[in-house]
Amino acid sequence: MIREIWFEIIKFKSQKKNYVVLAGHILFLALCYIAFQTSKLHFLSRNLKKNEFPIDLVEYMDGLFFSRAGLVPTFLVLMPIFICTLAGGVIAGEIQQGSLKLYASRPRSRTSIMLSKIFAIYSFNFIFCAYLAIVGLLVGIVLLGYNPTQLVFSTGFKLGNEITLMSASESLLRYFATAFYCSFSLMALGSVALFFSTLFNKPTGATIAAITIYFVCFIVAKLPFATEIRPYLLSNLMNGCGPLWLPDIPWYMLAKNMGILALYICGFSSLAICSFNLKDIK
Amino acid sequence: MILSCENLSKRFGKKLAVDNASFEVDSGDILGLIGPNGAGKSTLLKMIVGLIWPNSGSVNICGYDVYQQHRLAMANLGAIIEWPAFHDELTARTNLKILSGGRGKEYQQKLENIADFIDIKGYLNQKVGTFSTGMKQRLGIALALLPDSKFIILDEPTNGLDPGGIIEIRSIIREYNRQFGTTILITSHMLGEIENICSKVVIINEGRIITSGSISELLENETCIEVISDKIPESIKLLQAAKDKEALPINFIGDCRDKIQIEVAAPCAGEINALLVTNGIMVKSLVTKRKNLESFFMEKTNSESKS
Repeated sequence: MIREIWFEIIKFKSQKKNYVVLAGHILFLALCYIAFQTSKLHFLSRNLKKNEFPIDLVEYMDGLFFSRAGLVPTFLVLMPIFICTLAGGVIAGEIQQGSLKLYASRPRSRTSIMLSKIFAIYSFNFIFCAYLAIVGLLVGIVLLGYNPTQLVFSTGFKLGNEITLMSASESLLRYFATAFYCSFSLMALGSVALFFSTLFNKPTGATIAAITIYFVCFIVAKLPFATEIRPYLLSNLMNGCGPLWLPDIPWYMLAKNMGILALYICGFSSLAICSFNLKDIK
Repeated sequence: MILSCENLSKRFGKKLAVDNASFEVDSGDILGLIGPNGAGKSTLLKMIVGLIWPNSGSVNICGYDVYQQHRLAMANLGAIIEWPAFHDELTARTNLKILSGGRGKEYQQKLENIADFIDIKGYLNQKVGTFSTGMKQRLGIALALLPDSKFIILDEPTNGLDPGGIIEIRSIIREYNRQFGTTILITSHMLGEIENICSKVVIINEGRIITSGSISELLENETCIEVISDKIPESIKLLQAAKDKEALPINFIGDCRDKIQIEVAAPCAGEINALLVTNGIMVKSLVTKRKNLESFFMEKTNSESKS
C-alpha cells in the first residue's frame, strides 16, 4: 500500500496544475502585505475603540500577527479550491487521460486503488498545508520581524474573548495546530470531491461539483434560519479552528468538530470506494 | 485453455453492446478479434480484463474467474486496451514501474530484456510526452509483456503507425509468441495484418459473435472462380440458367464486365467449364481462388447485418 501511495504522490508531483496554488499563495501574501502596511492603523484604531485595550497595539503588528491574519483565507479559499481540483481529478482525470485502464487492468483490487489515492491525497494535502503555513510564517517574520509577546485577535469567531496576549512560542504552537486542523478539515472536502470524481468522467465536472457544495454550505450558513444545521455544515466545520486561539481551549468543541469532519471523511470515502467498485471504466 | 468467455452480455441503456458472447483461446494461440466499428470489440475486451462489469456471463483466465478472483486472473495477463495512455510528464521507466507495479532485481532485469527486445532501451529515461505514436505503442507493448504474462491482449497495436512501424510491431508480436509461447489476443481493423499474424479468428458484429475458428479452416471451403471467356454476356446467361434450372451452387459477385466472378458453395469448376465449352464459348481462363479474410469478413458482416 505504501508503494501505491508513493506512486500516487509521484503522479501528483508531476502535474503542473497542482503548483498553481503556490503561485496563488505568493500573490496572496504580497497583496496581504500591501494591505497590511496601508490599512494597519485604520484596523487598529477601529479595534482600539471597540476594546479599549490599555496598551500600544502597534508594537504587536509583527510577522507572526501577519502570518496568522493570512492563515484563515489561505485555508478557507485557496486550499479548498486546490483540494477540489486535486481530488476531483484523481479518478475522473485518469479516466479522461486513459491511464486508469492500464492501471486497473493489473492485479490490483479497486478498493486498494481507491485507498491508496485517498491516503495520497491526504499526504499531499498535508504537505501543502505545512508548506503554506511555513512560507506564510517565514514571509511574515522576514518582512515584519517578530515580538516575543503576541497579541491574538479572535474577533469574528464570537467566542467571547476577542483579544488575548500570549507568548510567541505558544502562538506558534497554536498556529501549527490551526494548520493541522485545516489540513484535516480540507480532507473532508477532498473526500466529497473524490466521490464526485468517481461519478464523473471528466475532472472539471467533479471539481465544479465539489466547489459548488462548499460554497452552497457557506451561503446556507449565512441564512438566519439555518441555526440547527449550521454546526454540521462543511464550511462551518472547516472554519471551526477559532477555539484554538482562546486562552483556555475548549477541547470538547474541537473534538466534536473533528469528529463530524471524520464522519464526513469516512462517509464520502466509503461512498467513493463503493461507487468506484461498481463503475464501468470505459 | 487460457481464456474462456461464457455468455457475456453487456447493455448500455437501451443498446445491447455485447450479446451472449462465448469463445475460448487456447494456450500458445494468436487469436484475432475482428469486427466493424461499434461491433463491441472494445467492450468485450474491457469485460475480459474486468474494467466493465457484464450484465451476465463469466470470464476465466488461466482458470481464475476475472470478477471473483481478479488479482489471480490479472496476474497472468498483460493488456493494452484501446490507446496506451501514459503519464506524459513522467519518464517511460517511471510509467512502467507505476503501471506494472513491478519491483526488485528480477523486475529490473526483465525490464532491461524487454526494452532490448522491443528496442526502447535508449528511451527509458525520457519523458513519455516527447514520444512519437510508434514509441508509445512500443511502450504499451512493453507494459503488456512486463509482468511475466502468459496471456497478452493488444487492442489495435498498430493504430496510427506508418507501414514501417506496422511491420516492426507485427514482427515483435510474432517473435514473442514464437520464442516464449505467449498466448496473444489481438484486435485490428487491418484484416490483412490479422491474416498474417493470427492462427485463429473471432468475428463480432453488432455485439454478437458471428463465427470463430482457425483461419485456414474458415477459408477452406470459401472459394470463388474467375472466368474469362470470349462472350461474357452469353456466358453469364448460360450460367444463370444452369443455376436456376439445375441448381448449380453459384453466386455472381463483382460487376462481371471483363471477367465473371463466381462464388461457389461446392466444387464445380469442371461443370462450369464443360457447360461453357459445350455451348460454343471459348474459355480463355478459369481460375479457382481461395477467399481472403477481408472478403470473408465483409460477406459475413454484411449478411449478418441484413438478417
